[in-house]
Amino acid sequence: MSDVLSIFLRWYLVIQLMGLVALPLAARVFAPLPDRGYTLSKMLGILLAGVFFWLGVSYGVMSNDLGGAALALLMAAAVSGIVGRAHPAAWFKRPSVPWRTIFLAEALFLVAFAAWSYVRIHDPAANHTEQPMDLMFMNSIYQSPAYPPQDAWLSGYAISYYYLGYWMLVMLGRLAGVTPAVAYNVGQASWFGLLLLGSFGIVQNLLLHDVGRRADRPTLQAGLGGLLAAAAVGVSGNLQTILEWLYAQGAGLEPLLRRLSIYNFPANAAVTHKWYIDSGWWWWRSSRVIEDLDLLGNHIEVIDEFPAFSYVLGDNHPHVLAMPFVLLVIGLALAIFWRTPDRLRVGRSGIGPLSWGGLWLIALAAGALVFLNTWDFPPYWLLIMLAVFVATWRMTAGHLSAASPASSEAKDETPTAAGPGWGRAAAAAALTGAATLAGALLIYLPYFLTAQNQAGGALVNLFHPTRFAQFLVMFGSLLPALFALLALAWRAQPPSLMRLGGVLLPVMGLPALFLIASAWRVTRAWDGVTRLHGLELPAEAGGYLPFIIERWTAQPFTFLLTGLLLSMVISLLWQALDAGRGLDSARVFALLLAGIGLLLVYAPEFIYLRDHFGTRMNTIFKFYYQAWLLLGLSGAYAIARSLLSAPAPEADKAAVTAAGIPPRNAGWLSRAFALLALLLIAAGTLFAPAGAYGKTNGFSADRPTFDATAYVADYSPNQAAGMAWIAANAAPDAIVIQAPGDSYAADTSRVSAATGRPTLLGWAGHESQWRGEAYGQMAQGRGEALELIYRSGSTAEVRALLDQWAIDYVWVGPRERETYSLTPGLEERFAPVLELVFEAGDVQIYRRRG
Amino acid sequence: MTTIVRPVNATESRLRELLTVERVAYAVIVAAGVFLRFHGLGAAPLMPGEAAQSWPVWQTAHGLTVPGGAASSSALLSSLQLLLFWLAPGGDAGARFISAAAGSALLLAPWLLREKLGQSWALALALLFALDPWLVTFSRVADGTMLAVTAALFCLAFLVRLTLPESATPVRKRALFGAAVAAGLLIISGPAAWSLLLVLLLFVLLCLRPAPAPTDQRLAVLALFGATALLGATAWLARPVYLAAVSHSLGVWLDQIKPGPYPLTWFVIRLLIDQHFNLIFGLTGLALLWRVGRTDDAGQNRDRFLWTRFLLVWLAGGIAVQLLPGRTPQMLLLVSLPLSFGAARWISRLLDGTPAHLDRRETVYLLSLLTVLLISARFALNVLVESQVFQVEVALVILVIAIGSMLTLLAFSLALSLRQALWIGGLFVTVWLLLTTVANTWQLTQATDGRHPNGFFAVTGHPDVRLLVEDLRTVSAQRSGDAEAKPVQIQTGVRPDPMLGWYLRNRSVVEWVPAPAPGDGLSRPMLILPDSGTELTPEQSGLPDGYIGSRYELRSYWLPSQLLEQPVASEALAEGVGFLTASRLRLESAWYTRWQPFWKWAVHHTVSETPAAEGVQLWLMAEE
Repeated sequence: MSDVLSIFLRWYLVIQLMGLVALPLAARVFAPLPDRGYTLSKMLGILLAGVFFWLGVSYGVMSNDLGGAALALLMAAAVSGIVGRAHPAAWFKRPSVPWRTIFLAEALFLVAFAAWSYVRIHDPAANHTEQPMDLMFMNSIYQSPAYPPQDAWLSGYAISYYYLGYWMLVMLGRLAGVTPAVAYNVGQASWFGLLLLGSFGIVQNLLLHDVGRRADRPTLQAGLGGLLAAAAVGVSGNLQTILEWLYAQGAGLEPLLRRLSIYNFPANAAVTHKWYIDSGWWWWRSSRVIEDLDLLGNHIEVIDEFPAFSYVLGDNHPHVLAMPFVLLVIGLALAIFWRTPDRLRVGRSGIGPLSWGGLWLIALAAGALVFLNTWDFPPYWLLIMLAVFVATWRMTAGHLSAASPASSEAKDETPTAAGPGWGRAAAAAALTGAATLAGALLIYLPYFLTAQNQAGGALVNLFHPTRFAQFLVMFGSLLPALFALLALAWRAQPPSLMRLGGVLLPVMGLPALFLIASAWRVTRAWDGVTRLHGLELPAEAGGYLPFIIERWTAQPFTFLLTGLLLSMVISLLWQALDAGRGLDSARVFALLLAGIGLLLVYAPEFIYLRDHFGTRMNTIFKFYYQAWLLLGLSGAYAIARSLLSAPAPEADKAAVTAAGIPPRNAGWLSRAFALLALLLIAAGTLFAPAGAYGKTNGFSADRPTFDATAYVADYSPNQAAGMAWIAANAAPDAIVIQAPGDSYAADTSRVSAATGRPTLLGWAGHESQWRGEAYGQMAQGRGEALELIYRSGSTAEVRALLDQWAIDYVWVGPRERETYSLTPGLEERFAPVLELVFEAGDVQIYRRRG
Repeated sequence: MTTIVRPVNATESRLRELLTVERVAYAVIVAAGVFLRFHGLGAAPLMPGEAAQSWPVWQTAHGLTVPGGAASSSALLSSLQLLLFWLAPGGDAGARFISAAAGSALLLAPWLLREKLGQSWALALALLFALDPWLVTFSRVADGTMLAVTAALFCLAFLVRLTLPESATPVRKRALFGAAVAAGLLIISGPAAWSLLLVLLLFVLLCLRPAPAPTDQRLAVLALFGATALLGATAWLARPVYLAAVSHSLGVWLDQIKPGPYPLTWFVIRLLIDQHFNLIFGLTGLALLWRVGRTDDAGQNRDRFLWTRFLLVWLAGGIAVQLLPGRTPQMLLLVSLPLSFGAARWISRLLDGTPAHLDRRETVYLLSLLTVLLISARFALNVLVESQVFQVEVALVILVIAIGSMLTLLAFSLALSLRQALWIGGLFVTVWLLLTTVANTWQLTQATDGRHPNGFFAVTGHPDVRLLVEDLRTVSAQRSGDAEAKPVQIQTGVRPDPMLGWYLRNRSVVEWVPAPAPGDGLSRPMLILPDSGTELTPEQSGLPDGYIGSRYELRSYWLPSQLLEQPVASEALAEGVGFLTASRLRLESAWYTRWQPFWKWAVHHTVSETPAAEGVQLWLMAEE
């Protein structure tokens, strides 16, 4: 345990150092935020150091080792210090960040990090689902002597995946002095802490701003609201959690469950009467609530993960690793949203409310999302542009909220003679979007030059409207919070029915028209053949078009509800812009978040991206994940505002009124919805502890450790010894061949995953996903080479293949013997060309001669 | 009578202006320092670290690839060596040339400090730098340490100019630019730079008053710093990849936290044996400085006080880092450099404090007497350390001589004056210890024998490696007519051995292989395999019949602290005897097994045991 504690402390100190380094820059960039960006400083520091490190190694000016990571950290400190010091007022001007704010934030991070570290040390093994893949990326990055990082599952090629998240974990591991196998788990735990901290920070800032309080007098509302956000985003599960628990306690839910038709539930569930439901993977079903059916009614898997699920599962996928930096970008958008520069910037000084330095930072942070998890970029790119739009609109219209703590003096509420600046605001937003894209392309150019695109366009969703009951199970805990937000906003500035109708028509009408037009087009016979020719219909179907109509008329409610809600949000935002009051209120920003979240759940109803899987699975997966975050943040804000509104002090009432913030009490409707949401979210927080308890068998590990590969020694000591020998004796880029791997099979391609040494063929399925059609050519001949080497080739052929593929080591273990029927007699072919350098039981390692 | 006055011509006048005593003294000091640094530069084979630095650069300079992608940790040294290897044939002396040149350039840094320290202090500092055993040692090692020290001290000198009250704007500007260039060179010079960077930061925080500078000047300073670092690290942009050495050097520096081969006793031993002059008079000088600064109420010596504080904190920090488990020889300089400043201050005080009415005859008498006593003590010490049995009588003689020396001084203080006697005594001890320092320097740098390393570095190159090269050349010439033509196959681990790489760099064909492939036919390569310590038979080494082998050592491992780790006789020795006898036996055993070898090494720098070594086996076909 002392080893575990030592690792924990070292990692914690490194994270704290990252935050410290970025504080000066955060204080300047996030100056409009009440907490001056304190809760986002750790993410900012990690991102700066990580990107500098990656750029340095990419351009060959830094070494991929501890020194490079340390130099990158020094550079980040220098940049932060120089930029932050340029405006010392950001540090010393009152109000500064009070100790209470810092304490609360640090306490939350420490508790979350420690708690999830406790979970990880009792479940450290990277031995299921795609954990070996994550570990392979980390080890590949760690071992690569030069840029681009080698792909350990396809020797001779670079990684073709968005790997910045893995890069940052490895960098932190170098600074903390731990291997990738250890960084895998302790890093994941720290990311959990960052997720909760960032969520807390965003909502806390919104609430502190809302009542015109300055950060040196944090209110109970802000603190609790922030904690609620952390719980809603990072700890709580969807309604499936409640259903699972009730079923496990023996509640009779059969009629309801039949209606919901959740896949494998309750078929694979059991009545256990346990608080943690059971020790199996009950929590897996929470991520498979949405189910699509093919034309014949067969199951099509759709993934609907949420952050708490990812952490219980314990993988380090890009969508998990990107989340803290998504929160950073949301924070940047919030800072833009609240910026009140003396003048708009044009030309050489910047765009709209942003200076050129600010634009570069946005390009770096938002562009990082492309490199972290490409799916995350579009919604937050949109958020940035919307924030610029609103901020510019506010400046050109001459409307500044007197309640804004960022403004140093109250501004006149009367619109100026210049009038509303739609054009300027739109231009500023568009230019910011273009500049962000261009900047991101420039900064991350080395990545774009080596990455391969997996997406292949978009497809129309004709056959799979989301079943409403399942949609409610997925988002049922967050929808009431959304209603509470809408009620709050409606009460403050209700839009006219004309306006609502004017928005509803295009928002719902256009997608409907698109669906109709697409259905007509694909079901119409062209030269006697429809585009759907080959898709088998059920016997009772009267044709493709009737079938489509039947599907949609049976399940229109998800489309209708999400479309309606999105229309309401847009109307409310439009109303706020037109009214010109309270444009900088937190409510408006919360509406922006909710609107984008709704867009992400609305869009897959009629369109999805074409990829390797050919279904909506990945689109729903990635869109719903971000929607959960956005709806969680906006929902937590709404709940806190509705239930915990504190009376405004007399001195602030005038400012509060002038800012257009509702009177001290929220309406009964928003309170009712908020209460319901609070109860459902609170109930859903059972997910994380119950899931963790079940997965770790009650935290019963004999030897708690952070090492993700320690389990191999228990499973096969010979393999563990062989892997240790490779790690100690083989050059970082030495090629070690094994039998080809099977996707999701942790006992295949394990040597390359654990050591980072490239092999000829790893998980072919995944490689094919990442590289698309190019993979076939890349992998050509490798399978045959392995066959010849292990089984049927002569000594001369083996020698030739070793030279052709630059193979340094040949691993012979149980899997190789089984796959190739390798006998001792066959191994004798190796002697003239290979030297036996390691032997332990059923594992031998041969090294090439000459 | 008419007095003829010869007119003084302009040349003679100018010569007299240039050839001041101070400048002549400087020239002599620099000449001595240069001699110590360059004489016999290539006598000892390269150490593994030197080979790891020089071999990749040599390969690059000759358009060859570097197997295993070895990484240098000094970008500046790599750039300068690249230029050197382009222009001149590389050899062991060539590999070390840049360090020697940098070490020689260091002697000019005190000249820049004259205005701050005063003429005598600066001159004494230059003398100490010229003779310092550690500075001379590092001047003869092909790594970036000396480049870092030289750049750091020049940077310090320029920064010191900023603290001078009479710094006018042009002077200040030149000092800023000079500091920027020196800092740029420092940051690319290697792992030692990072410790020295902290020292410079310490100076800035403690001694430098922030002064407003125009933005364009600040930008110019930054640009100069950046341009120097960039151009210096990349050999004027010819080798951009060398920039990666900067981050690699930071990693090497940070690795000092991890345990290394140098125990704490090694630091203490080296400090006492090599730096007794700096230790005694450095602390004395710093104490004198501290006293002056603290008693000056008028604040006129405020700068002096800050400067003293800086030196003391530097010294304290230097001692503190020795507590890190990964201490290295480079870190010793963090202790010796501030002590040198203190010791130089002592010398300047000694010279400046020469008694006005010194009785020369009595002085000669006293110095002669003290010299005789010293020589006598030295003879007695020789007898003591040569004896395997501790001779109490001899030790008592030495003690009596020491007490006698002090009584002699006391007697003369009564006869002359206390001040004169103390001054003469101080002069005597100063000169004596200075001479022993020179002897140490010579022993550490000139009198080394690879078979019996001096224990400054844990790993040194063994002379056998040159023998290996010669034997390969001989066999190659005999069998192929060309000394470099016959192929050599070297079995390598994760990375190629840089020592073998350096010493075999001139061979036409060198293959680095994970396992030997003797091949067949007439042109079997010469094989170099790791020495497994087994019998030299082909079967043991997995080679076919017909091969014959021989061993060559490549590296020696030895530190003087090992002498103090020898096991003392066990308790069994003391069984059946009384307490006093047992204690005596233990002491005698400790003297015999530990202290006598240690003192023999300390006094004569000789060790009877052969140090541990690591080598390779060379395998050749008996007949072709």
